Amino acid sequence: MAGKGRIIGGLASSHAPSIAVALNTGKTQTEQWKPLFDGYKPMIDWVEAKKPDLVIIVANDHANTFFFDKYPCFALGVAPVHEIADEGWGRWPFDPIPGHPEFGWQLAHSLVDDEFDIAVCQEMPLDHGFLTPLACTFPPERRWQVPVVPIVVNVLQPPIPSARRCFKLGQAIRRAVEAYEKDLRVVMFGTGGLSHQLHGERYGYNNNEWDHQFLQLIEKDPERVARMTHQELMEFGGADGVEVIMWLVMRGALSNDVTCLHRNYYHPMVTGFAQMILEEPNDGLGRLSVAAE
Amino acid sequence: MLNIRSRQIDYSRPLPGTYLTTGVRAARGYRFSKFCMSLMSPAVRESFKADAEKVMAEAGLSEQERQFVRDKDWNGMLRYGTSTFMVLKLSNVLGVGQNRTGAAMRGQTYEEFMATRNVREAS
Repeated sequence: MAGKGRIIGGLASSHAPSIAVALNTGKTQTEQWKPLFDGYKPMIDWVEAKKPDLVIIVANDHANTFFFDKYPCFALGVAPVHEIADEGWGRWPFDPIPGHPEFGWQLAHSLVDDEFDIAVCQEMPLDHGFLTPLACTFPPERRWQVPVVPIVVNVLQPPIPSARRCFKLGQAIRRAVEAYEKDLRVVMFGTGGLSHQLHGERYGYNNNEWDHQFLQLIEKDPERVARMTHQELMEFGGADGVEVIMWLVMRGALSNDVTCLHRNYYHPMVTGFAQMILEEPNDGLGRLSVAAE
Repeated sequence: MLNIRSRQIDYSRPLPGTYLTTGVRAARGYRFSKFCMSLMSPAVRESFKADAEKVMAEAGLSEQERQFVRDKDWNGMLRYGTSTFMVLKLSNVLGVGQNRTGAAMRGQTYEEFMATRNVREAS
């Protein structure tokens, strides 16, 4: 079923809460933060130029949206408006973000038809996993002009979805977008990573070499990342470095023909921060379908 | 070590200094995690700051669990069975910042830990 939706490109960004705090406290041009925030400028400009109709963004919860009483492997926010989470020190100072219930429910059906049995959520307050990348990509005067459909991936409590599964989820999202019956130009946004570990004696583990290798692979050979186990990802990138599986969801929704327009890496403290823009040819019309698995 | 077979994680070969929240460890730590999660509520945070022992008793924490809190034994909590995202909610209420908590997990002072970082002001 050929529809009218299309994916015009992918964005990726780390999502550490400290980034959003620096943004909100006017530190973007300090010596310490400038190398990171300069990396958002091309993303801001690209989104402004492309004017997408929708952003599908993939992040993990940090026990702010969900708790371990019930912890979904995959969850989808279909609300008309996404509330902002309070992470235990007050609600983030952002307005609630518009969703897209019509597409969201269609995506839910398409994914479950495609054997991705995702938890469908009418209330799913967004935490820094979503807010940091969105706030950095949409400056205050442009918030929130583009509706957002958020997808949560469990990376906190194993069993967590495999890298392969995340890549396939991206492919299934592309099929859903391309089958959508209305004109819809979609940007995929993968978040998280790169290397970091926030617990135990290994707190503060980073691996710059792996981070650079990952950035190369996610663009040129995502299949190779999809073959990696969590054990390998955690060994190379730290326990929380496994978050890069969410970049694979984004990458899985893109074609092989993408052009990397932008890539930035900065490792100041405990996380390897990275950003990326992958653009589809011909505003997403270059390649019309992804072969089913 | 957790007795779980998984294609993704080799639980017989745990990474050093790494405690994944799953299996019987997560089950054992669930009550403690739930206590940490309750600190998301401003009212509970205030009660905890006023009388931590009372809040821990009301949460039904065991003596061992209460001792982790009194000692700020972050790694103890992790090994016992809670997630670092729970620990960080607790340490935040106790007035210990993330990187101070992390330094203690590494067995270092804050200054020792910060000396290992590239740019100390941008966490």
